[in-house]
Amino acid sequence: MELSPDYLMKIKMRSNASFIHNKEPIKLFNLNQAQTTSQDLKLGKLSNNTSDCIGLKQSTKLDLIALTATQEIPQFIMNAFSILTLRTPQEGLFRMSPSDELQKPLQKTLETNGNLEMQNLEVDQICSLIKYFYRKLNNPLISEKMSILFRKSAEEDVKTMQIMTDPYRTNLIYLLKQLNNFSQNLLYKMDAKNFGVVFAPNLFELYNLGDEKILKRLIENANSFE
Amino acid sequence: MKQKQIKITFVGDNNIQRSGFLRQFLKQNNDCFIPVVEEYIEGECTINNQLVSYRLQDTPCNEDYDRIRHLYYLGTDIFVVCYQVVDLTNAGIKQSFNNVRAKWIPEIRQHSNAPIIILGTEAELLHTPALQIQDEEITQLVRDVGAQMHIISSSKHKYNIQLVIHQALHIILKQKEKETRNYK
Repeated sequence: MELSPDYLMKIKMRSNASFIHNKEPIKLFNLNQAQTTSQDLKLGKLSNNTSDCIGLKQSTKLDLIALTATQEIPQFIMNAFSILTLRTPQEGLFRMSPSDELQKPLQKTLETNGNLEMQNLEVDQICSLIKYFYRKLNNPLISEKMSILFRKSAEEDVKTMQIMTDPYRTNLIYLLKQLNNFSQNLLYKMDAKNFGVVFAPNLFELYNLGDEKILKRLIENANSFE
Repeated sequence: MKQKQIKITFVGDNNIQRSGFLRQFLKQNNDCFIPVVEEYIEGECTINNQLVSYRLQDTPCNEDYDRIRHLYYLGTDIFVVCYQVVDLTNAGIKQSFNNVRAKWIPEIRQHSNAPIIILGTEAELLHTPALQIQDEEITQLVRDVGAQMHIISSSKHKYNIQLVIHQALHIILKQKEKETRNYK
């Protein structure tokens, strides 16, 4: 297993920069000290606090394969999007973030049960929960290998989409189609580019700057995938 | 003698005209509604007969970017933390104001010891019946956080836009003067 050179560069940059710019070193892992194998890095073993890593992989209970045992798309996602389409359009869908105090108990129940009652929640809260769900998945929707393929060529998106394995492929296409629908409605003031910016760090396993442009492309062409 | 570029980083909640402030500084159209990934403005000005080059760095402040945002903090000389001067919900939540204490300052202090300016945005809303944030709360916040300065600005009416940048540069230049004096 090999890490992408961009990711290694980022880790090196951070570990060096912490010595230059800060009097107290940042609590990040240091490549030279730890002498790690690439597998350890991938599993997130080095850092006690997984949120420090740029990679999304982490040990949470939200497992897409288990959640999609009986149906193609998790019940939570289906419910959330059906509620969102029924509500009156607001400016900045998926962009505004609600206060943390309100969200934390909801996030906990979502993580343990995999589903949640949402009829009484505000639009912002539901949007934030959807993003949280994708962020906390055991395996993110777009894995490192797939993201490399997407970065390579803009024209072969349909082909690369066919390589993806199944619960992830169907879920990604479902999400892209939903976002495409929302981007057609001008009342939301969110086009494909804006959705790309907001969703990119939630979907890519290893996020690099510029990935939001890939997502923008995918959302615009959502209807060409099957 | 050419000086090192001074980096001023802007943080703060979403939808409080933080990027609007920077676009107004460039005298651009402020009507666009685009979430920021990475935007920066570079420029030069003279302060005390000294040529100073600066870089105004805007950061992605969505919750989605929580894991990545600290990359933008590297090398920052001074932070500008923004909040909205009124509570538009009128429910007493004061989300953007409370987040300065609860979210932004701890996050900055984890990565850097640079000085901080607190900036109230959208001052034009002070004349509306929306719930205002009391002066005592603000002074308390400035004292607790150890901020260098508190300024109110309005990007719609072009009020105090240049002042914020100039004050930030002044603070950095004074700090550097002190350091060199102590060194001698």
